[in-house]
Amino acid sequence: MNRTARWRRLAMQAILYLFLAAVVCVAVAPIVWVVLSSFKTNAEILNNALSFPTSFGLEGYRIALELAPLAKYFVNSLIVSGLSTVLNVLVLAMAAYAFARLEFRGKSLLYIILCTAMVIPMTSLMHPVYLVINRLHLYDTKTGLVLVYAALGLPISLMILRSFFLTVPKSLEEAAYVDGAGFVRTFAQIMLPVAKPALASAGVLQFLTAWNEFTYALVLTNSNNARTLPLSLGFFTSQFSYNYTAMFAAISIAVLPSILVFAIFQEQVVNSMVTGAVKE
Amino acid sequence: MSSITLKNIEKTYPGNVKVIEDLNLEIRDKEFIILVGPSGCGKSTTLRMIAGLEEVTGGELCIGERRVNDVPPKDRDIAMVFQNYALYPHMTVYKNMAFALSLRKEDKRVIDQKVREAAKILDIEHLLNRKPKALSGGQRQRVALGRAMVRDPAVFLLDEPLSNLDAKLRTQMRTEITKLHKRLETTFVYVTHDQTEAMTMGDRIVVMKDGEIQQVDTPQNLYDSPCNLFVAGFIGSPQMNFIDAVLVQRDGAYRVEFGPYSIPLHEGMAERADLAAYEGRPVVLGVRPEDLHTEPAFLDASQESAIELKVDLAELMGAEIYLYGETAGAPLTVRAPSRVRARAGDAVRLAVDRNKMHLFDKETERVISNG
Repeated sequence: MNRTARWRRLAMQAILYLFLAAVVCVAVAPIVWVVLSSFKTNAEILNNALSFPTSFGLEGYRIALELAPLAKYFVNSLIVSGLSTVLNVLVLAMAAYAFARLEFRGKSLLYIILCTAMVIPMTSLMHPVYLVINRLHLYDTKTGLVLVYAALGLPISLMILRSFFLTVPKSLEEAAYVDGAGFVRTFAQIMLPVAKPALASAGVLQFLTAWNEFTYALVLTNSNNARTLPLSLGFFTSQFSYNYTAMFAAISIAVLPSILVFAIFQEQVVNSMVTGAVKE
Repeated sequence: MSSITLKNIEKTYPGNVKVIEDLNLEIRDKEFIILVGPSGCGKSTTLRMIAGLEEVTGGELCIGERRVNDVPPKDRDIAMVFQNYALYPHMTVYKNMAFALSLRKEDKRVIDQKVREAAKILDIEHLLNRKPKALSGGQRQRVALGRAMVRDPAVFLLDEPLSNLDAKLRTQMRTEITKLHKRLETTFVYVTHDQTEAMTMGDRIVVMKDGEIQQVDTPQNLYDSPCNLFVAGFIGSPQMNFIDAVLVQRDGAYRVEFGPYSIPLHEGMAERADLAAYEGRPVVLGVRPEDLHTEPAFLDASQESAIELKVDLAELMGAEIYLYGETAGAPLTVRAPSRVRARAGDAVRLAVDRNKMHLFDKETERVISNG
């Protein structure tokens, strides 16, 4: 390789890495800033918003827990996100399997309709969803939120799981049939375990959707009994509120679990997103 | 008793796509039968119908005395080995093999004994705790065989089980499957598109094309007496040479004439077939590559059947050499001992073994006479 070509390659790589670094900065900086600020005192924040904390104090967290029922909201979020994830993945695994393997009239149309739900703005469904939940007497209950969240993640979970089932060779099920398994057992004992990566990624995405959801939680609940973590931030943004440390601490509590979940499962999520894209 | 009877079997897919029409076949108890044919000939569909994985749209399918048209796969007392092995990826080898038995609710000790016995026969005892992902192609194939074996089925169905293996392993597994058949004394139905597998493994071979059975016979009979041009061309490697010729009668003897050559037919041929009906008509002369001789002694004794080959390509295979070329406008392959040192561009004199000539009707492609 001659010298010019090598320099050109190096320059290209440098530009690429600079670009990637910029993207990472844009994505990560706000989170780092929030977490760092949560350890600063209010005076420090007001004095210099971008400085490092002089000492890592947990005062902000103490005040945050006092100002808002964060623990209660955290548990609510865990229950609602957890249950909606289990419900979503379980029901949609079955639906996706049916869409991938069975032949029935109107299959394609039904699939398109279900997936189109993805492009409908969530807020436009607010009113009908509110009415349904109200009529079911599920207003201000965790059950109501669980049902709505499980439905919100329907299109993406259905797509991930169906495309995964399509990549599983049919002979696997046929082997199970010959071995003596029926349809249900084949699904439960062979296909579900095989689909673990897809289940994990659908589950993670569903969990994150539910964990971060704000609008429906606001509209469908009105008491601490069912409210979730994103709503707790409202306690810190009132007109006369000035305790930024507490607010940043609350935000940290709210976002860190979701980042953690994604960090643990990100490989599986990315893998299942590209399933079927290349022949293995 | 695990014979299989296929009576007037039909298979039509939605959209009226008929892939098999009126298929009749009797597979004997404990027989190793091979279904062979090119892609899309219906051999796999036939096997899958026997397995119960494809619905039979017409006719009658019996395993033993029992009609099984509407019996689900699990109740047919069959086991199947798939082309891609179809091992359950989340289960260990042991669990893969034990799965069917545990569904049958067999005693744990019996399951353990059967799995270990099969593993011992297949030499996979040391792999029992591994997952399929950690196995090589050959090992996976053994596990697939083991999974079928433990169930002690009345019928073994094998769908191109060796096609994913490399050449060396394929040869090795071929022998092992044949041995396994002898040991288990069960009916084996084996699908392949590889005629070498068919020739070396089966008691009988079923040659299929376009959803129809062309010929059912022992490997040797298929090779020696093909019933039509397709079978003649499909069985044997390198394949049989076909030369367009005309059948004539001269001086009281029948001859085939092509280009400058006129080869008298063997007397037996005229006795076995009504050659008079074909006199003056175009026929196809079939000669296997090994029935074209280069030895001087043979050439001297067979002056009348001598032809000349213009060599285009010579492939040395070690013990023998394949010569590809042309004679009177027809492409020709010769299988000669490797001491024949011919090169591209050479002209080689050959003598056709008149006892081994095959004659086919050019129009119907059916055989007129074999050898």
